Amino acid sequence: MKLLLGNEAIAHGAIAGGVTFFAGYPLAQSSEIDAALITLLGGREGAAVLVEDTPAALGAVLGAGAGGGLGATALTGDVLGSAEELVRFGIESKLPGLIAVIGARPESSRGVERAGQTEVRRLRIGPAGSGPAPVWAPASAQECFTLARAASIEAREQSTPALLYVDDVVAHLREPVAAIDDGLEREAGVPAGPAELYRTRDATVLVVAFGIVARAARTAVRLAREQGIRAGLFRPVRLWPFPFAELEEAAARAGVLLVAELNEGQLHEAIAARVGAAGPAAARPRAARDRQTILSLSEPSEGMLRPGRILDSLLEAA
Amino acid sequence: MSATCAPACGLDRLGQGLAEAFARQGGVPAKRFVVTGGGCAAFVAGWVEGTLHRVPLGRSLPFALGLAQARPDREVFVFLGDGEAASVGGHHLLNAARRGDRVRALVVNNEVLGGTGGFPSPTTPRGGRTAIQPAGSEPRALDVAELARAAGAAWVGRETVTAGDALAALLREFVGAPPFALLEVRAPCYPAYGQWNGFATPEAMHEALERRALRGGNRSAHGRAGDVPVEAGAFHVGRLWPAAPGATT
Repeated sequence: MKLLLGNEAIAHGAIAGGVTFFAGYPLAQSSEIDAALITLLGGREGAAVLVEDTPAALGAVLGAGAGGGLGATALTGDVLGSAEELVRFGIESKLPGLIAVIGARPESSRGVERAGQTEVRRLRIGPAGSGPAPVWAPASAQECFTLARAASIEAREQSTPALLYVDDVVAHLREPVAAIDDGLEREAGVPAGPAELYRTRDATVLVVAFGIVARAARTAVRLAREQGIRAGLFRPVRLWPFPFAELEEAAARAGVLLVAELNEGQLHEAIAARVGAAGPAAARPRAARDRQTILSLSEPSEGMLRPGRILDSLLEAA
Repeated sequence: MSATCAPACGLDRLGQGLAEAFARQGGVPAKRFVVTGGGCAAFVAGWVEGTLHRVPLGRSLPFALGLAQARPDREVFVFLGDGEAASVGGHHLLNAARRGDRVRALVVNNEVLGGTGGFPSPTTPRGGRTAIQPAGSEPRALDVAELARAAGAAWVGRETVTAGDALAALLREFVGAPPFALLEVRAPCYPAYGQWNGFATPEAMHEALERRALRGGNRSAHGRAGDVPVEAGAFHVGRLWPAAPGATT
């Protein structure tokens, strides 16, 4: 066990997953990843390079992938636009690389908790005719390690850029992380699946949330249960491609889906388009499609959704 | 981008010259990476044996940095036009030279964004006319070789595509030069530049290019004004860095 920032755990997971090279342009919210990777790769000449900007970092990571290595970089949502072109190029050219994206803080947020999840839509990156690149969304420092390791392996095995999407709170929570040098890497490095289910079996109201919001939602679900409401939580561990099949299965008995997120409702939009009555949901039974309501609990500016507010929405929806 | 080179732009000579330089060097094509982001310089790759990577415009140098790191057993060459070298990838060039990336960059500088048919590039001479600016380009031209030298490149050279044996000799030196190495090759683009600037034929551009090329010195054409009577837009050619022993700078 070690106490690590989420960002530090990403670096450890990347190394455990076989990353051999780091190129990056330091940005405040992601710089702990850079620092940790530079330290962990420190022994080998040229293994870590500070470059002039984010496109250069992406270019170098993909170049290393083209040469048979495995590169990693970290960036923040503020500069995601300048990285998209190269992520797309990496998908088209089947080049591996690990890319950690820390969600931008909302400008208006105050205080310690300043998460943002405003990049959901833009992180669905993929050329026409192919699926989006994998984007994993950890909710704890332990999972930062686990998913960074898994995404590194996936990047190499599938020859694709693989992304981590981490909100600012998870990136900077210092939490215990198992199995970095205690011989348990293998167990700690395997994600359970593309989604985590919490009390969904009989749920009639289902919260959908990821990252730090999912942790608040878990508490809200427990409190709602105490009030006799059959609430559940669906947490996408893999954000893209979104685990729609798992969601539809988990939501089989749910009349209401409540999508809670720290933006204007980007994930809600995607889920409503797919699962809602308006979207193509051929795999779903007509009855379920017709009776499901998909609500949005969006918070684009405060930087946090607390359990109480999610609970209020659950009580209202139920 | 047009699908073929402009008439008499000389890129075929450059490609053949580079292929000959590689052949004389005795290098193994399988151990050579070639990276290009496009522009007219991408055509040169057609003459060269090696593993070619075509990457998004502007990002060839960072991509090459990663390649060079992952494969220390291989030589990495990057072909850029003046647009990629001086604008969309300009800061990559400065920082690759500054860091000493294990890369050799060939910059084809035709002083115009040739593929666009007539937009000026950062190397278009002040007053140079293009289709889009028939009254002449206002900003001053960037000197790519001087930029690379100022940024710390280990080896810098410049030649004209029409220089024959002198180009061949410099290409031979370039393919084995210490990285980060940059060779700027000046080439004429008649359709996008020459015809707008009073040249009757592409061949007339060749003659003007040779008049502008100052041979035998190691100074920049901009180094000390008035030393030599030079034609407007003159530039020094040959190996510019490291300077020959005894050369004045």
